[in-house]
Amino acid sequence: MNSFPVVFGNVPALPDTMEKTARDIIRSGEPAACHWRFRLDELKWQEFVRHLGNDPAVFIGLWCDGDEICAAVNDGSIAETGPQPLMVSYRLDGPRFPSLSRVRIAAAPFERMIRDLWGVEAMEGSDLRPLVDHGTWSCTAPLAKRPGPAPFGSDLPEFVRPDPEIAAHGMIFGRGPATGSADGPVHFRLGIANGLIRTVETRAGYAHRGIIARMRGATIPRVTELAGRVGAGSAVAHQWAFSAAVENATGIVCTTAASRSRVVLTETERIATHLLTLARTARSVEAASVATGLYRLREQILCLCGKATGRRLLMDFICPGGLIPLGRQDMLSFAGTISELSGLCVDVVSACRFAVSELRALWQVVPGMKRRLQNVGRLTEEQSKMLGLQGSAGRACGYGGDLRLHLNAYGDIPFRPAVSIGGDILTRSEILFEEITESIRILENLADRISSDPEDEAESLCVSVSMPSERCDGYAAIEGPHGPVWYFVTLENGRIEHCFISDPAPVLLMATELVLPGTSPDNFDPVRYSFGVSIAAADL
Amino acid sequence: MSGCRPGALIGGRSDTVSTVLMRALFASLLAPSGPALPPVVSRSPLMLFHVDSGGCEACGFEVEALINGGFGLAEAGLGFVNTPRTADMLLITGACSRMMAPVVRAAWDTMPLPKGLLAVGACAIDGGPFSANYSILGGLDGQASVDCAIPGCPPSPRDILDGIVALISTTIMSPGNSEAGSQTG
Repeated sequence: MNSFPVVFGNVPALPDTMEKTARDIIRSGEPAACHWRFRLDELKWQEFVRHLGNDPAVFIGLWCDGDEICAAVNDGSIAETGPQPLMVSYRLDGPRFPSLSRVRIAAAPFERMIRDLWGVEAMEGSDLRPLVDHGTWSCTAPLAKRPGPAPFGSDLPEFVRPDPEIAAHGMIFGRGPATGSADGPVHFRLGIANGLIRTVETRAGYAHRGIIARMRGATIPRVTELAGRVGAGSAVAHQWAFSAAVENATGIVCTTAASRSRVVLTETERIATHLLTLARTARSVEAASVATGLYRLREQILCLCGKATGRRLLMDFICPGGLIPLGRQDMLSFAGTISELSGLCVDVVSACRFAVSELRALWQVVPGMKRRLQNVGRLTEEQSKMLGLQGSAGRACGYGGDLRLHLNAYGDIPFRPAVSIGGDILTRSEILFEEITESIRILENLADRISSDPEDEAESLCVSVSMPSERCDGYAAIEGPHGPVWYFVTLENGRIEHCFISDPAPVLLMATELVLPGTSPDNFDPVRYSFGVSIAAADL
Repeated sequence: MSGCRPGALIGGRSDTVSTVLMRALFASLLAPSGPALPPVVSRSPLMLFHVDSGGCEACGFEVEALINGGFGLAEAGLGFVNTPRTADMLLITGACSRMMAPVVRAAWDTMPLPKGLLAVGACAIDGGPFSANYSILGGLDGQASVDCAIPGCPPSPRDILDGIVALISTTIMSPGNSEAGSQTG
């Protein structure tokens, strides 16, 4: 029997051939207080998971707040729409929830983190190994309402059983967590057979500091401080993203001068971090002359930052409302801030303008370097899409947008995002050089504008922030040095009730694991460094 | 020697023999010409092994800048190695996570005698912004006795270099000071 409704004249209505998308299902849920947040029941959550696999929505993150599981996706591609998140939550009914990682592999590190911190397990998840809890903590599931006792048993690490080829003809090669270098504590277990890397297993968690636990119920200044210490290479991006999320929740609007100052700090940080990534990559292929030049230039920039702001790594300069308020003895006064930042722009531009071009030229002519980096560690566009990889690594394989195109703070600043399609180390390095050049152009552009702002603008670098006592939610995304940094905050009684963070580091680590098999063990370091993974940001 | 606390006995333990060896080591490295304590090691300069024990990586960045940024380490009689087996001093950054504690211990046990411990940054000293919790021990405070603690969040490469040089200089300038040049056991 035909079940279609009959509208008139006994003519059945045409069936709805448009398939529902995951975003439609999210919107069909119970709306929360803010327009971008919805709640689903269990059946709808499962339907949402089923449809998410085919939805082009960019996956942002997955978190837990003790009572609910929350997932965020971007409504459309970041390249086209910019940051337009949809957050969907599902009330937990027991210590399990239907997994997202079986349809979106990028959700795997989030699910593993949730299991370690909250004791809530993703059913049918793609990766069920612990991420940060390897049996050394003082308790298990520390953020659960009732944490478990400290684990008993051996401290010996557990690894996946090596595959038969490696067991028969190969070897296991371990690296880290203490190598004498400063690239973060992490252990890589490489399975090598026939002279090539066959398997890669990462054991993380050595740098887990409990940032999420520390942020819960903390004051705004304390969370701002912690946000700056998620990963030092993107400290400014994190503090800006957190501050912007609080501003979004409370309805605060920053002055133009404050926004421009934040752009100056972020772009300077981008230059310094990219130079470090390039220097480490050059050092790993024994291109000492290039590496030394890059390290020296970075040091020169950090010295300029220290001279202008008192902070070489530009930490603790951004806060909700604008820049750091008066009264901090170790900071500049607002009146001096504008001129100092303007001077910083001029100094960084003059330090970099020719040096970067020379180093880029040197990068291309060092004998054997180009051959060493070409077609090595290649990430395809399909792999990038599968991971939802954004940022410079995503743009190096033709996928991923640049959030700066959609941020108001960058609205009147012309710049051209760098995109390529190679996907190998050489392309990633070229993209970083190109982004440094663009950042220099942005700073050059801002140097004149900042200094020409009216005097009273300097005094309004930080608007007064009055925290509402009622509960409110906010979000923000900033394009950090290695990709978008997202913050979702819930405030109550002037404190942070929950803070959800999405940093590109876990996905970059997955990308590293994905491209290493099939390459020579000699290429392990160049591949790893070229992604610029921050272990601290991945471990939180 | 701004920012340096040479010989700070954070753990409250001291080892007389080790203290003498440490002092002798420093004296042998930077002693002026003329009568001096006999050398106790055959190599020079002073070699450091860096371990990030779990922090935000900022102090690690600054150590990396110290190594590669043209600060004249060799002229200061310092060098960095990539194995603790050939290191004279263990340089710790980060707030010392429970997962990294056995790694730090293993690196320390691997080092040849005499040896010293250096805490660089607020995190390594007492946890800084990362006080003790379920995963963090809160720095070396109460865990070990350090020979030099260089504060800052993060300290600049120049601060780190000045701290190390001041430690060595102070140890040589005050050979009779039993509190200078301590060594963890």
